[in-house]
Amino acid sequence: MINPTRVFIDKDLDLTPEIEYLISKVKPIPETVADSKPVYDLINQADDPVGFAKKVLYITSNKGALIRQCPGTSYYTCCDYTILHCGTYCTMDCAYCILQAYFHPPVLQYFAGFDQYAAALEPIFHGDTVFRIGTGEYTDSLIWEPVSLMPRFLVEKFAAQDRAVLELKTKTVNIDALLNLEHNRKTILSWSVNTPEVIASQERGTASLVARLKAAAKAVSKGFRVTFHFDPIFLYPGCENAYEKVVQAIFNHVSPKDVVWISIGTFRFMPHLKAIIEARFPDSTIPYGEFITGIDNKMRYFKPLRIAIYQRLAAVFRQLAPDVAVYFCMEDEEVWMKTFGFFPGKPKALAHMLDRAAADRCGLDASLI
Amino acid sequence: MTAITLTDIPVSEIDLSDTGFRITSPHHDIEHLTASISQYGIMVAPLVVSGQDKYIVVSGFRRIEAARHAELSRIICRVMPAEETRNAAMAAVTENAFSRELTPAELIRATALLLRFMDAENIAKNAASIFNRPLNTGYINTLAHIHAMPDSVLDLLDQGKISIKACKTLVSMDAQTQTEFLHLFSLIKVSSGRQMEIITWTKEICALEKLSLSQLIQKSPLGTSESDLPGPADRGLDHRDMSALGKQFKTFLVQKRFPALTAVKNQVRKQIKALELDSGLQLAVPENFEGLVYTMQMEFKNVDEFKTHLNRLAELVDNNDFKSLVDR
Ligand code: SF4
Repeated sequence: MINPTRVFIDKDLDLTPEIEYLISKVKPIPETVADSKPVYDLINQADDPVGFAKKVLYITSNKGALIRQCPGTSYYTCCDYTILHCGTYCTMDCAYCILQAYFHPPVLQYFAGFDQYAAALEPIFHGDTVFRIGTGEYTDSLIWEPVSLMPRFLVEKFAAQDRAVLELKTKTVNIDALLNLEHNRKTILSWSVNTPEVIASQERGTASLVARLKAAAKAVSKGFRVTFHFDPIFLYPGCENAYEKVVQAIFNHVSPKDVVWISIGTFRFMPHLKAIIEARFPDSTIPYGEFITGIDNKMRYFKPLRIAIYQRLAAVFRQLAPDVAVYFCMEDEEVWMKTFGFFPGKPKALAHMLDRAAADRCGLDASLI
Repeated sequence: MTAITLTDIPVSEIDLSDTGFRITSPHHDIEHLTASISQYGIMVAPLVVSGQDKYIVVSGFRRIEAARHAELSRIICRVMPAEETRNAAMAAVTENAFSRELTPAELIRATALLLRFMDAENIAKNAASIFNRPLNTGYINTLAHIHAMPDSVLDLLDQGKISIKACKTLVSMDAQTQTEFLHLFSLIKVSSGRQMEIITWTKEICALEKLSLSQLIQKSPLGTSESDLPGPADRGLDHRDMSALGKQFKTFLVQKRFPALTAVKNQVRKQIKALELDSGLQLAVPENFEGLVYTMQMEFKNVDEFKTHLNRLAELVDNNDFKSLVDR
């Protein structure tokens, strides 16, 4: 829930209806700043800048690239996702959140400017290829829904074309304002899922699994397509059964035909995140798995352990949802082969597989794939 | 300037039990020094402060102790007035720091001594002239925290069984855990790098298995060797024994912390051994079995050797051990 104790706004921003709406929804009167420095300084002086930053909202515009390619690596297969960069950071607090270590310091930024975003999307909407676009790489897509018109604006924008799908990825259940919009299946509502134990112990302030799945069912009832991300998967005693139950719970709530794709990926992290987790979540043992240094220099579970959990999950997916595209975020040929029996090794092969799924479930122009 | 007088004083009037100014280790061998003093006398007069009815040692604990052993009845000392405690503290440090580099334990004792008379900022400002080296405030505070740990930390530092880096990690832990770690390091002797690994893995295993450190030690090879005897020195364990125990304990931790990886590594080691590769051939598996590329390195001196290796390599293609190793 966005509930800041301080709000800052760039002095150059015009008071558009978009910004007036946002300001009307947050309590503190915005303090005008000439640039980001006072906001950074305020956050940096806190004992726990990572925690403190969740309470400081900075309304600004995106001065960098609005549309970016997902930063994959060459060794592990990447899905060629496109990021629409309309906000940063998050008000929830997951022990494993990469954003704790990614920004220095992290700042809860809202990037205003519908016109700017509309202009950036225009070439995509009229291009000769299809795109899968998400806003949930540097923020949770739907923490903004209760206070901002941005999610609504994007749903309606995407509804009017057939070249791209928008994936709004979240751990909230903030979908009410979107449900009755004309979405034309071009917005996919997406939930990161985990076992109830992990959610309770590692994901402060997020919705419960049941609440997420109920929200997904509600979205589907309004014609939305949905996706799920088992990412990060944690290995702990009994995790295999627990994750299997999550898969079963998903398909107790939604039908496989409404699920565009499901990604799976075990916990991986930049080495310096460990110290942050230890300091901010002293009871968490998630950095103490059987990790090795991966080829991308991130810590990953020892490969046979990853393969073992993937194989268990793949078997359940095959049984319950054989037609849903299930893929790995950042795994290599051996893992793909041993889990799914195939490897999308050619450049863009995984992207192609997901584009097909989007065309099939969301009505993208299949002739462009 | 402090007024210091050279005075011939009875050894019996020097209070060696007052170690308030002492920064050197109390455990030392004074046999050679005693012999030297018996033969040549004391070369540099110890520094003392005149107390109420005794003299308190500032610098020269070993010399005075050796003089006692040499059965000297009087020695010449430099005597400072009783009220000069701050200057005495400075002298206790500078006398040592400017004659040789202080050991980590001495640095800690010296810092703690000076902190009784000045704050960390002041010490940092004057570090070069007191310690003969720069020290920043943060480091001084860390040293003070280490000093506040159980006393055995200084003994272990003196014995080189724990490093300052390891102590810095322990500082943030609760007193009970500190005590348990210090006990652990009293039982083993490992390098500074290993100490850090041991602290990290031990902490993580304890968190994962919800064990206290002493429970973990009990389950380890140290638990069985510890029996009910008080300490390694009392059991006559020398450095080699403690190094061996350190290795065993590390192996135990690795096995517990990385069970799957250890099992695969052991298995692969056996498989490679079973291949009985010629001495010029070396097979390397992907690091941590994450990548997919194996490396075969060949060394040869002439064409004959090269041919022999090639034939051996050709045989490997049909070798089941090799196949199961590489085609995982
Ligand atoms: S919900 Fe996502 S963005 Fe928010 S704290 Fe958790 S991992 Fe980070």
